[in-house]
Amino acid sequence: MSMPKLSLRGVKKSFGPLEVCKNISIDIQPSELICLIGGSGSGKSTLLRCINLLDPIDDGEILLDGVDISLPGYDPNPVRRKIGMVFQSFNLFPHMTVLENIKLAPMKVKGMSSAEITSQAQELLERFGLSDKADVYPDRLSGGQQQRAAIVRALAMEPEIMLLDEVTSALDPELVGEVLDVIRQLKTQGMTLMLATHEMSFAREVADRVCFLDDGKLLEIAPPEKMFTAPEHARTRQFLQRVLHRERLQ
Amino acid sequence: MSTDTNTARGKSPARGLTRRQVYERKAKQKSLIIAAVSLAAVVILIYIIVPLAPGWEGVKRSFFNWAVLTKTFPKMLSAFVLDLQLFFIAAPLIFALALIIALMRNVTSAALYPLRLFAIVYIDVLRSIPVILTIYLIGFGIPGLGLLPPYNSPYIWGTVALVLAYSAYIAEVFRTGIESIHESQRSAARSLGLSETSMMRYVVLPQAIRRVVPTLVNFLVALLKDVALLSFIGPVELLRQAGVYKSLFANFTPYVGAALIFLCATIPAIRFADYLMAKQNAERSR
Ligand SMILES: Nc1ncnc2c1ncn2[C@@H]1O[C@H](COP(=O)(O)OP(=O)(O)O)[C@@H](O)[C@H]1O
Ligand SMILES: [Mg+2]
Repeated sequence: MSMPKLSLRGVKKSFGPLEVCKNISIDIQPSELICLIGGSGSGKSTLLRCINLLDPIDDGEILLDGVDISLPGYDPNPVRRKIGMVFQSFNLFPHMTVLENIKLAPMKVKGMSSAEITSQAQELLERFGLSDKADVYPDRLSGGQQQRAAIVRALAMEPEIMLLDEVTSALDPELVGEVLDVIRQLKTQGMTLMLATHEMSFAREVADRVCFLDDGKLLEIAPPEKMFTAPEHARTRQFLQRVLHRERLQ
Repeated sequence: MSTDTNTARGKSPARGLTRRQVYERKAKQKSLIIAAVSLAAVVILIYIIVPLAPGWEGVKRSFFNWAVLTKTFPKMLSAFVLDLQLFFIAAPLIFALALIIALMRNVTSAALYPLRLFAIVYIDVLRSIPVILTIYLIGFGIPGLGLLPPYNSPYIWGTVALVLAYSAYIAEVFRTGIESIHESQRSAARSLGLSETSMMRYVVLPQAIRRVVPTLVNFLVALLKDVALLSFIGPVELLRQAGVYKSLFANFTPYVGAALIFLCATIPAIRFADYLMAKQNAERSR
């Protein structure tokens, strides 16, 4: 097997007395799609934020292409150019149009010219069905459109890894599909992806491996067929029974 | 019975108005009439009752003297131009300084802690002293160091005092605005690789400033009035000019004239601030 794109080794993170990530280790291969599942508060968002260096970890290592990026004092900005992140609540900048949102980081971080990034942004918008929304402000978009715009904004930095944190959780059910389609596209293009999600059937369809987080512990990691049909731990079975039952009701 | 009312309603909405529009139009007319009548009643009462006061004739002569007003008004208007000049010099300086102080107040790195401490002391001290005292201390104190003309001018040091006092208040306004921007906006900016400086400049500040614009307009109104405080250390602006005329004519009408001039300048700004505030509230609740 080649060198992992991203390795977590014994990652620990606490907020005060609350241990949120308890000794988490995973190797993620290039072009792999990892789904993080687990109950609310199990530490999915925190783990993704730690990988993006938005929250510093207390112990352990995070290796990107074999380089430890989690050393205290390591400059986070070059790392974030390689690792894009999209949030549950979109977090588009409300005072900028969609195009301005997309252009900001490539211009200010990579020093690209406005013309250069504009044509590239328009291509991306086209690809994700937003070409008529370039000059619109985020509050004029539907949730699904906002989330797709946020994904395009992260993609415009040409990251090597994308972290997606419950990107469909804030959406009306009929808008979920369009965002999931975007994720399928990214997978097809060979992007390395790590996503926290509550969409179990989607995880089953696209994931290469599924991680079950429980109370800050990485309890189980398995290919989706195994995770969803024959999980090892009782806690995993319980969790899956609960959410799959709910999914069937919808 | 019910068919009766239906046909009656069916006829009344002339010119394609909905039933609701007709109803709202009638309700609006009614409330306008009630408001007009009650206002007229109050005005008439004041008009009848106030002149009954024993001192009314005297007050009328010394406060509402038409002859004095017409004689003094043109000169007072030109004195007000000085207020406006001082205002337009002070306001941009205040905003620039306030922004710098607010940003200093917000730095987190340990190496820059002295800046933060300076900003905290600056804001606390200047906000705790009455503006007029700051004006006295700086306006008299610094020229008293033996500066040579024109650097000992009360115009300069009075303006400096105003800038110092107001920049402390406005720095706090900016800081509140900066802190009101949700953490998720910062997370998003950081995750894109923006430096702390770029994040502040392109993501946080534009939103923060937009959010505090109504408050800033209100402070501008207060500043325009407080320019008159400089009259206490020398500059012959509107209030001082009115005082001169008061002594000259032994009559208070110039003060009423000065009040009228301030009213005309500030009320539009106050209404504008209200409008901006209402607009922002509407946007936020959308
Ligand atoms: N900034 C923070 N400060 C304190 N506690 C936090 C913070 N962020 C998350 N937590 C806590 O950490 C736990 C895990 O949260 P989170 O990572 O958001 O879980 P998930 O995304 O799986 O729902 C929760 O108990 C949450 O309250
Ligand atoms: Mg979460």
